[in-house]
Amino acid sequence: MRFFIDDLPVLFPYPRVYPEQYAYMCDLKKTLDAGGHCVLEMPSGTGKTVSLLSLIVAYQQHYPEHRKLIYCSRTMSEIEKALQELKALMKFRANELGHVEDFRGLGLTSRKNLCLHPSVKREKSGAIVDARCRSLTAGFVKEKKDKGENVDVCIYHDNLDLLEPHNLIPNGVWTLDGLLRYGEQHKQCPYFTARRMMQYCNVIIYSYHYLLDPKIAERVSKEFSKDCIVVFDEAHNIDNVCIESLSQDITEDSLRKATRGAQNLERKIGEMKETDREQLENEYQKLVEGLRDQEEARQEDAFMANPVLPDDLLKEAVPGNIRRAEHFVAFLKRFIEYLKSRMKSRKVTSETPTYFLDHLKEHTFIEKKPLRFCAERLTSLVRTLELTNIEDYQTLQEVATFATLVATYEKGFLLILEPFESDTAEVPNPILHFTCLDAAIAIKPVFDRFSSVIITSGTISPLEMYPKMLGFNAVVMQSYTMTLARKSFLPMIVTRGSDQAPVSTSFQVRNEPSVVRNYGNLLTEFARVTPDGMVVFFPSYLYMESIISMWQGMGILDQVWKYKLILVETPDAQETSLALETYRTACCNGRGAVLLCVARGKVSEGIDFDHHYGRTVLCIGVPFQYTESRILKARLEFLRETYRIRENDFLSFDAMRHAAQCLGRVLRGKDDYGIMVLADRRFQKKRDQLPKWIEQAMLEVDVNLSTDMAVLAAKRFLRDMAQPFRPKDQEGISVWSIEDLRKHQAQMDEERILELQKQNEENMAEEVRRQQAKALALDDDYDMDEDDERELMEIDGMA
Amino acid sequence: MSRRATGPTTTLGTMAAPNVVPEDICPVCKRNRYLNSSMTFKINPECYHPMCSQCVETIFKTGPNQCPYASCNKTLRLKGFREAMFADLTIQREVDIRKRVAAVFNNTQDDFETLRDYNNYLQDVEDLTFSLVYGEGTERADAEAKLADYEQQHRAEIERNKKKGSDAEALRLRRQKEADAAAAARRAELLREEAEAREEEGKLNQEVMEALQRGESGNAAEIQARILAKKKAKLAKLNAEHFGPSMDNAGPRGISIRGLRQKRTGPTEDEEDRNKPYDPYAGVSLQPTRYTVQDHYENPFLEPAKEREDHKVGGYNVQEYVARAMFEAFAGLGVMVGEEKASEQRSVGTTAARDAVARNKTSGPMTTGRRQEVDDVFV
Repeated sequence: MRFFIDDLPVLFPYPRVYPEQYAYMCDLKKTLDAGGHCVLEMPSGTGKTVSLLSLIVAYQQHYPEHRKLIYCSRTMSEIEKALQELKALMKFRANELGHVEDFRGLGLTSRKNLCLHPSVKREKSGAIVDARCRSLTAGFVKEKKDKGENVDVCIYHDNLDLLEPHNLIPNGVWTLDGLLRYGEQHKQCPYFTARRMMQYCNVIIYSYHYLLDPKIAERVSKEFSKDCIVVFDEAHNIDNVCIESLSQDITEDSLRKATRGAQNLERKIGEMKETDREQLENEYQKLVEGLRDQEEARQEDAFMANPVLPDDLLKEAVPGNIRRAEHFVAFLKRFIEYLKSRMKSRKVTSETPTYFLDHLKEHTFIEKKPLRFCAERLTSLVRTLELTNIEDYQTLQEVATFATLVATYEKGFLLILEPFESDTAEVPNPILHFTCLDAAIAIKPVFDRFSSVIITSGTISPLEMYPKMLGFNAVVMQSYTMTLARKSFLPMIVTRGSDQAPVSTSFQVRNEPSVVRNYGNLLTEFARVTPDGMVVFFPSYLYMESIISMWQGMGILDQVWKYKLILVETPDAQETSLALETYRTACCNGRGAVLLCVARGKVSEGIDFDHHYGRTVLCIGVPFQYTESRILKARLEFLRETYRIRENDFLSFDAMRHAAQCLGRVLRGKDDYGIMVLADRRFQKKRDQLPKWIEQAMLEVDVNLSTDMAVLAAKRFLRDMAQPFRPKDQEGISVWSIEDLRKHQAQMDEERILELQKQNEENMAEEVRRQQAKALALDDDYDMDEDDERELMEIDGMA
Repeated sequence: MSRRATGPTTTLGTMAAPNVVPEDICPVCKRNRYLNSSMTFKINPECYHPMCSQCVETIFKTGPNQCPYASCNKTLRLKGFREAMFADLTIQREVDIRKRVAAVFNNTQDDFETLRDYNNYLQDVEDLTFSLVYGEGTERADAEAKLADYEQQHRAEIERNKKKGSDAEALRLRRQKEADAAAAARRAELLREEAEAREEEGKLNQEVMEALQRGESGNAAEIQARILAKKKAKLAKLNAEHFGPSMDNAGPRGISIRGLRQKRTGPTEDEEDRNKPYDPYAGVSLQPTRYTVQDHYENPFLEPAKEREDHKVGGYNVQEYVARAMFEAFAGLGVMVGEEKASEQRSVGTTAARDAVARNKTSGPMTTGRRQEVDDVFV
């Protein structure tokens, strides 16, 4: 399907388009034209990815700037899905246009997923794969090889050097699988192919972290130009990703490992002093000159990552007291010892970085400035020492990163020391949390650097919260509703049980037998009426466990068991995936199943329950965060102080976005249908915080139901859904063919023309009125003038 | 002070085994933490040998005694014992030495011409510290000598820097305190306002109930809706007051500042006038708006007036002349007849003005005529 948006020809790889897709593309184009950021919410299962890709690719190909697209998604499977969509799109474009465009699209993921080396790829842990890969591919390894020394290298990596550096892989879209196959065929490393070709790509698809985590972003995403289009898909959780990327936890164990790392480092320096003094001397000379000169060395084979350093820091020379390797190691040891001594405290403390630095200086004479250079200095040292077994130094690196961060940022961070895991614990297990409170810090470089950043997701309400929290201005903020030919989902709020007693998971009443029983009845009733699969979300594992055991005692589970298989999500990933598999089997063979899971667990994000896998989603309780957490408390206070977001507003926003995410699980397309039940008294007031598409579908009568009424409504809804539904009925309403689209465009144009005309007319009328007024005034003036003249003459005469 | 102290610690210099504070068992009396959970360990900066506090009590209470460690022949005093901050006593010792060094070498970056000089200085100090900490025999003795030397030579400077440092520290502390106090006040204010808002809401609820009780006109639903609307409007206002400014400035500018501004706009104009110094022009700005008077104009005719003494002697000021010429050139521009018409009615309010206008009748045919007419209004 081919159509125009303004002057932009868009090729859409399907014969039909949804109205909301068209609106989405229009708004996207507006944003790109204006060169700003935007927040867009589009219901799940309405083809967000394909509309995004087809518009941006059309935009790239049509305008001469060829702005690059950086598409960030959350999980591997989403990346792969996007790549496949892109591939199909490009194929369609080639067919339509009659020629293959000069276009390259690549996906990037970790070494672990892309390695071809026969022994390295068999490693299970990502960190080990990384380390082993580095030890085979580092620059100095190659030098040694060239010198004739006997060292192991990776043939796949070295083959890349034989190719043209800007043409390692032919044009086209390469899915991760395709990339692996191509690499195997041509004996070249897929990971480094992707990394090195990134600059020569039109579209790059990778995970958030490559852009947000300052440790990685520095190396991977440095060379992109300003006019790149950055898309964050599934971005409803982006603030947490930002915060996590800058937060760090330090435990006693990690400090012990770091000490060992420092000792190793000391030994290595000693060895090197005896064998290769020159090398150390060279490094020293370089450091005297400043970090900027090492720029060329900060390449892809850089061993360890650094948190983003401000530019002015790079230009400066390393402080004199950590220039020498042995001085620096002593410095690190001192810092680690200091941290250890802090860990001995048995009191919970929370302090600002400024306070921490003062205390540090008072007791160890470590100044702020050398601390800031810590990570960079360590990287340089590790490079000089040509260390290959990096995993030994991983924790040392963490400590160095912590040092740099704590010395770099004064605001928006907090250090919290928790000596005990829980309030009742007797054995201390101290953790020093270095938490970032401000999501804007991590994402700021992205907004500063790229002119268009698009944040989009299925559930990203309330929209205005995101610009506030992430500190940017959005050109377009839009939420689209789902156009439906029939009402294919039924959102309801159940506030009372059949006995009219209110249900809620608020702390005071959550364990009351009546509430538990009413929730149990709700579950049984819905298990009875729902065909096939049913998903139930609880606010926390803890609550889920307690309520399940209470249900067991009340015999409720036995009743549910009559209708459906019961499966439970656990924190263990393997168990959960087994449960999911069983769940799917049970749904497919007609037994039906109910999956009990947690609103913040793995299942709630990223696992789809389309069609018969999920006909009802039951959200028991508002999924608030655990509010007693000190980190959360600190963040709430920060949000309140800095962004004027009230604690309750944020908590409720956060709970509702998770609830919406859970509800969105069952509806993955227009031919899908499902029931969404929110079972808590408190949902009634939070209704307006749901995404627009859910809120609009919620009827006024459905917001304050008791269990029996909800079941009735569900029965009626399911009976409606059971009626035969022909795809043809949707056409023109929720699905547009090209004619419908043209019609719509014509209508829009007409409306715009009408509006313009109206405006014009108004303007004209205004103009006419003004002119009349003017003429009147002028007339008056003339009159007066005449009078004046007469008078003047009189005066003159008199004079 | 303790310069002598670090002198003969050669045994620790090499540090074959890491010298750490023991976790559970006192190396001297072999007491166990299991039996005495409040056991603490102490060290003496003479030799940094850890022992439990009970040992310290029993051995040194009666006076100076020899260190109980077999190979150590230091004489220690009770006074010197303290608890170590760091478990690794090498570090503890290093920090103690650093403390001494930092007291002597206390220059800051501002004291140096270039950053490189400063960095070199830092490195020199670090080298010296290293010799003191890890150096052996002569190396350390040399370092000691150097340190003493430097201290001797730069005593005045060190004192000065010390004072400067402590001043800066005091200032910083004060600032910190102020900031903390302000934050606390802000928080309290916010809490108070929130409580007020809640109270207000409660009151409105109460009103609804009362109105319902009284049985005001219309049915219950109507009353409720009406009062609810009222309540919503009020609440919205309250909320806007609370969180309004967050929209325009996300910065942490608190309520206190808003309050300030209100106070400033509060007093009426009269009051403000009274508070101001007397202004003969009553606030009319004499600053030219349509042009700016330059310092210098290309004008050969004016040159002598500027330069020659005999021209200047009479007090002739070129600047004055230029300003006047410019004023005359621009005078009258920007006088719009249409606007005049509107404003005139108000402006010529006094009889004196009217007289003046009448007197000026001849000067401008157009305006005067109109003024005549305008004046009639007041007659």
